[in-house]
Amino acid sequence: MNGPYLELAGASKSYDGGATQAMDIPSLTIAKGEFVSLLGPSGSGKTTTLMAIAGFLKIDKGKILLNGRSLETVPPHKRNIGVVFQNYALFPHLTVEENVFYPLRMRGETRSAAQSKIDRALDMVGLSGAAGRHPRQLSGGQQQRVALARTLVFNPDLILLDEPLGALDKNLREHMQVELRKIHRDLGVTMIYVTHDQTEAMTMSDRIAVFTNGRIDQIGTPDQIYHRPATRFVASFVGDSNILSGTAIGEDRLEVDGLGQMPLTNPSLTGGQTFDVLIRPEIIKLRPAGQGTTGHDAVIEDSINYGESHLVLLRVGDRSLRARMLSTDMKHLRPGDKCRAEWDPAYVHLIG
Amino acid sequence: MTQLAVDHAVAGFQPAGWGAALFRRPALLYLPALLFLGAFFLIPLGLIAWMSFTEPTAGLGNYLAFFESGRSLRILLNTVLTAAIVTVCALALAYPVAYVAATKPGTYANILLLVVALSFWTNFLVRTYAWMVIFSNGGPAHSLLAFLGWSPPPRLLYTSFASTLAMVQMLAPLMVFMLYAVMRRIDQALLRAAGSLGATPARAFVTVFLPLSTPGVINGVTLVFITCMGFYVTPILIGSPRDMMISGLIAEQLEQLVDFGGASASSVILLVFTLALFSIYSSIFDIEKIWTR
Ligand SMILES: Nc1ncnc2c1ncn2[C@@H]1O[C@H](COP(=O)(O)OP(=O)(O)OP(=O)(O)O)[C@@H](O)[C@H]1O
Ligand SMILES: [Mg+2]
Repeated sequence: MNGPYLELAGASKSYDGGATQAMDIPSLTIAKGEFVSLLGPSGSGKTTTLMAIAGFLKIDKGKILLNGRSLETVPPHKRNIGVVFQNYALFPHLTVEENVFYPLRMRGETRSAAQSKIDRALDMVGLSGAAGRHPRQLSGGQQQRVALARTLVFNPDLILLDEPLGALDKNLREHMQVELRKIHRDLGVTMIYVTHDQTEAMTMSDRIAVFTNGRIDQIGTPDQIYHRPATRFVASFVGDSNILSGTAIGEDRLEVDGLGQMPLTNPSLTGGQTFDVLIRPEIIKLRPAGQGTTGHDAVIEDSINYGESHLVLLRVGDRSLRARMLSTDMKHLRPGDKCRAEWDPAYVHLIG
Repeated sequence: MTQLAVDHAVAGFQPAGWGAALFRRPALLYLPALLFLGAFFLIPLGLIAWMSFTEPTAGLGNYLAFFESGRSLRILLNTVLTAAIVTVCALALAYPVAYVAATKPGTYANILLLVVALSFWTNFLVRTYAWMVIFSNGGPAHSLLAFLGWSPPPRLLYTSFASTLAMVQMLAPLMVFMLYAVMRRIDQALLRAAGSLGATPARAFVTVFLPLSTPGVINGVTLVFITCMGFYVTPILIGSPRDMMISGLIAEQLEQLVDFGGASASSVILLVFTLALFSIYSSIFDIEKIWTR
C-alpha cells in the first residue's frame, strides 16, 4: 500500500445547529488504487461523507485532501471525482451514448474525437448494443451500468459509489459486485463504496470503514473487521455474533457472565479488567450429551435450516447462544436435545 | 385461462343490476359528464357552427366577409400578436419564479407560491378594475411617471400597453403553475451528477435543467396563448378601442350589429385557430414522453 491519496482530517458536519452530528472524522486516509467500503446503518453519515468528498456539501471544520491538494476551494466540477448515485441520476433526455459523452463534452471534446472512448466505456460495462436507447428503456441493472460507464469514461481520480446496487435484485447484485471488482482491478482506480450490506462490504473491499452516528468506529481489512472488531457495535453489526460480558481473573482466565470460567490463549490480562467477549456462532461445536466432559451443558431450543448450514439457538445456563453448524454435523441433534457446546479459546475475541 | 373462464372467475365478485353494468363497463362513468357537455356545450357549439353557414343566407358568405374585411383580418392578427407578446412576457416572468420555487424548497418557496396563487385566485374582473385604478389619469402609475419628470405623462388607460401588461399579470400565475409542476419533478441529483461530471452550474442548467423543463414550457405557453386569444373583459375595459381583440369583435357583431351569422363565423374561426394550435401542442407533447422515465 502506498502513501495517502485521499485524506480527511478533522472533517465534520452537523445539522440543525449542531444537534445532529452527521459526520465527524478525525482522520481517514485512503491509498491510491484502494477499494474502501463505508459500511454502516441508515443515517450513520455515509452519504454525508461521500457528498463532502464530492464537494456537494461544505464541511463545517477540517480538511479534505486529494493527492496532497486541499479540496476546500475546488468546486465539484473541477474535482475530477466521479460519483455514481444511488438512483443512477442518468439524464433522461439523452441517449445512453449521449449520457456517456456528457463528461467529455463538458471537457470540450468533440463527439467524433470522443467516440472511441465512449465505445470503450460502454464495452467495459457490456452495453455496446444499447448506445442509442434512452435510460427509461433500460432495466435497473442496465441503467446502473450506464451510470458506471459515464463515470469511468472521463478517467476520474477517484470514484465514489453511493449504494450503487441497492435497487437491484439479489442475483443481479452479486453479478454486478463481481463486475465492479473486475473493473476496479483492471483500471486500478481508487473507489469508495457506500453500502449498508455487510456481506457486500466483506466480499468486495480492500478495507472497510464501519460508521455509526457520523463516526468511524473501525477501519480495517474485512478479516480485521470480522475477527478483531474494535467495538461492540462493529462486532454486532458485522456478521452474526454472541457478545457476553467478561471479567479477567488472573492472566489467562475469564469469568464470563452466565457461562462460568473460560480459559484464554492470549494471556497478559490484569485481574478485574472487564471485556465484551465475542464468540462467533461458527466457532461453537456441538456434541450430543454424554460424549466427553469438556465444554458447557446446553439445550437446543430451536434450529433454523439454511440448507448448507443450520442456525442453532442454544440455552447455556441462563444465557442464549447462537451457533452455526454445517448441516452434515446436525444429523443427530434436534430441538429439545441436550448437548455439549465447546469452542476453541483461540477464536474468542475480547473487546474493551 | 380462457377469457370466458376469467369472466366467470370475476363474475363471482360482481354485484347485480346497475352495479354489475358499471363493473363490466367502467366507461359508463363518463355518461353524466358526456350528457352534460352534450346538452350545454356540444349542441350550442353545433348551433353556432350551423348559424355561421346559414344566417342570414345559406353559404360561405360570413366567412368570405370576414376574410375580405381588412378590419377583421387586422383584429385576428392583433389577437394572435397580443397573445404571443403576453405569452412571451409571462414566460420570462414566470420561469425564474417557478425555478426558485421548485429548486429551493422551504418557507421562502412556499410564500412565493402562495403569493402567486393568491393573485391567481383573485377574480379576473376585480384584477381588471384594479389595473384600471392603477393606470387611470392621476392614478399611481400616472403619478409615478409625472414624478420621474415626464410631463405631461402619457395617457396609460385605454392603451394596448395597459391591456397587454394587465393580461401578462393575469396569466403569469398560470404559467408559473405549469412550469412548477414539471420543474418539481426534475431530480436535483441530476444537477449534482452534471456537476460531478464536470459541468459548471450554468452549463448544468443549460444542458440538463432547461431541456427537462421544456415540457412545462410547452404546457404553459400553449395554455396561456390559448387563454389569451379568448380574453374579453380586460382588452375591452382597459385596452385601446383601435386595437380590438377577436372577442371584442364578436361582442360588437352581436350587440351592436345583431349579426348572428357574422359573430358565429368569427367564433368558429377563433375555435379552429385554437384547435389547430392544440393539435400542434399534442404532437409536440408526444416527444416529451421519451424524456420522462
Ligand atoms: N439536509 C439535512 N438536514 C438535516 N439533517 C440531515 C441532512 N442530511 C442528512 N442529515 C442527517 O445526517 C445524518 C447522516 O445522514 P446520511 O445521509 O449521511 O446517512 P447515511 O449513512 O447515508 O444513511 P442511509 O444508509 O440511510 O443512506 C442523518 O442523521 C440525517 O438525518
Ligand atoms: Mg445514504
